[in-house]
Amino acid sequence: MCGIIGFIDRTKSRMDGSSIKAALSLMNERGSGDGAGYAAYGIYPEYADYYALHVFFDNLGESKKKVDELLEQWGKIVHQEEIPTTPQPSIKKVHIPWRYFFKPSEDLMAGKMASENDVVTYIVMEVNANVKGATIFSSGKNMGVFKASGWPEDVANFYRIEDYKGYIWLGHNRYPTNSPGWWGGAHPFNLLNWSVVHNGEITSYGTNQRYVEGYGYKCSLFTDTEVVAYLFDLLGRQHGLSYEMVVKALAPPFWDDIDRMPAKEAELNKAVRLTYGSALMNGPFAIVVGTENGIVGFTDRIKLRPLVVGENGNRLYISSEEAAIRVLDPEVKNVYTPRAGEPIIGRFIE
Amino acid sequence: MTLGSVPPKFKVSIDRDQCMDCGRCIENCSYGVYRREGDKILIESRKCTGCLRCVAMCPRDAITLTEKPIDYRSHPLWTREVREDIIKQARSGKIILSGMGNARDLPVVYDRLLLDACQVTNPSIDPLREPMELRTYIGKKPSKLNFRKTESGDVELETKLAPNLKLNTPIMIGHMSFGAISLNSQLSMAKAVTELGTYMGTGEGGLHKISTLTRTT
Repeated sequence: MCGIIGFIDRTKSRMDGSSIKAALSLMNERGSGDGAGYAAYGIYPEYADYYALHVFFDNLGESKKKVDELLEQWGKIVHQEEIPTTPQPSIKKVHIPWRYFFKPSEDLMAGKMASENDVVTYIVMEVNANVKGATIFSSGKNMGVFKASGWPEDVANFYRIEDYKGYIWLGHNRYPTNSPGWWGGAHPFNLLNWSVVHNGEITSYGTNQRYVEGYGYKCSLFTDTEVVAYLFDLLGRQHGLSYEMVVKALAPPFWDDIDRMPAKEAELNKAVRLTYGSALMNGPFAIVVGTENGIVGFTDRIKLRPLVVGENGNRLYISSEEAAIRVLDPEVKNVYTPRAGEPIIGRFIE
Repeated sequence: MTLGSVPPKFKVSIDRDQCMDCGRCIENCSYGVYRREGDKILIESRKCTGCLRCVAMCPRDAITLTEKPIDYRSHPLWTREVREDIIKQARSGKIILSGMGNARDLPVVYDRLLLDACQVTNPSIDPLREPMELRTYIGKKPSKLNFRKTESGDVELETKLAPNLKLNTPIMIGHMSFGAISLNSQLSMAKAVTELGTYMGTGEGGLHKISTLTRTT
């Protein structure tokens, strides 16, 4: 189960969150009220050069002090505040959502921490694995994730999602099947500018987890989708693969199909499967990933979960259901269902 | 009465009220546990191996056989098993052999293997829903791939892959050298792995000269 939705305006014209809320709520039978969330890109233009760190704190005492200390050790906090919320009768505020705007100090970037992104990745892994009572659930620039346990409309109203304007939106309506329903386990899962919403399950999670943990990522959020965000960061950012190539690694063609390809194409696909065999994701899934250059949608290799695409001018919509796309845009044109494993990529027009 | 330094493993007893003194236990025990002295059947438990033939043959179900627990002076290294093994080997001058698995409480690995192939469906009964691919490559693999864009805009692979062995199934026959097994065994295994698209190992003992022929077939 689970309902997912992805939206991009290729001209970076921004849209507020109210229609995403309406579209996601339409798919409520795909959820169970145990988790919902949104990711929006382009929402913090005044802090566009700073990492927006969204954190769930159990309390603002000891755990916040530890996060403050870690951030101050690695850079500078230019602004911080509690994320504004409106109490909802159906949402129990078990965490305090907080946001920092943070810039890593260049003086400390050396060796394994060669870039801002490396430092922020380290901080996220360190806090989520070792600081009790604190979870960084969003760490990109000019973007943010808003999520909690509850129904999509309640979570949206809780975070006042209509107050944010973004050119990429992701939404997720959760029906947890084999991992706990808690705030950190709601989607989207994020690292840096990668955000992932996912319907289905990653049955290869153990293999994928071992693979990314070999590169210093730590899976600490108890949900398989977390590993997808780290796979995208490893392959897309650290290895510099194109989005098409990342999708090819995660949902590659079958060997039988590769055997029938022309020699050169077969060689490339074989190399991807041999090199990135541990990144291959098994099981049923439909996924939309938000990135700094656009959105990427894809499914497992035999499409065991639904994914529908719609376009209208500069806007691209990806969702579990066509009905949700039509709520977002009644005038949508060119609605189609992509083939299994086929990447659907929406990029900004430069 | 035979005497020995290994304490008896079993204690055999006869319910004298039940016993009809027929002597079938004496006739049937091939280890000589029972013997007649006057009008009484005497028992020498030390000779018993626990085969239970006497229990099966007794018409009155009068025979009881129990394991006889004995405490040894405890020692972390010189356990009961170690001490008895030494005594048994010293007595016979041979190493101890036993068939049908290990007598100790060690995990039986193949009975405890759990293939966590998939959570959603059972692959063996629903192969259409969950794809299962068994092809495996063994060999050196790069940690990452590099690509370049050609002038026509195509993506080309830049990284050169090292040669890998292709296995159609992730199972191969372990290393058994010529000398450990016969030539015919080696030949039949070579034929089998060729048929299955997998490999066999020859270990450190190598191949028989003739076997080099089968590698080319």
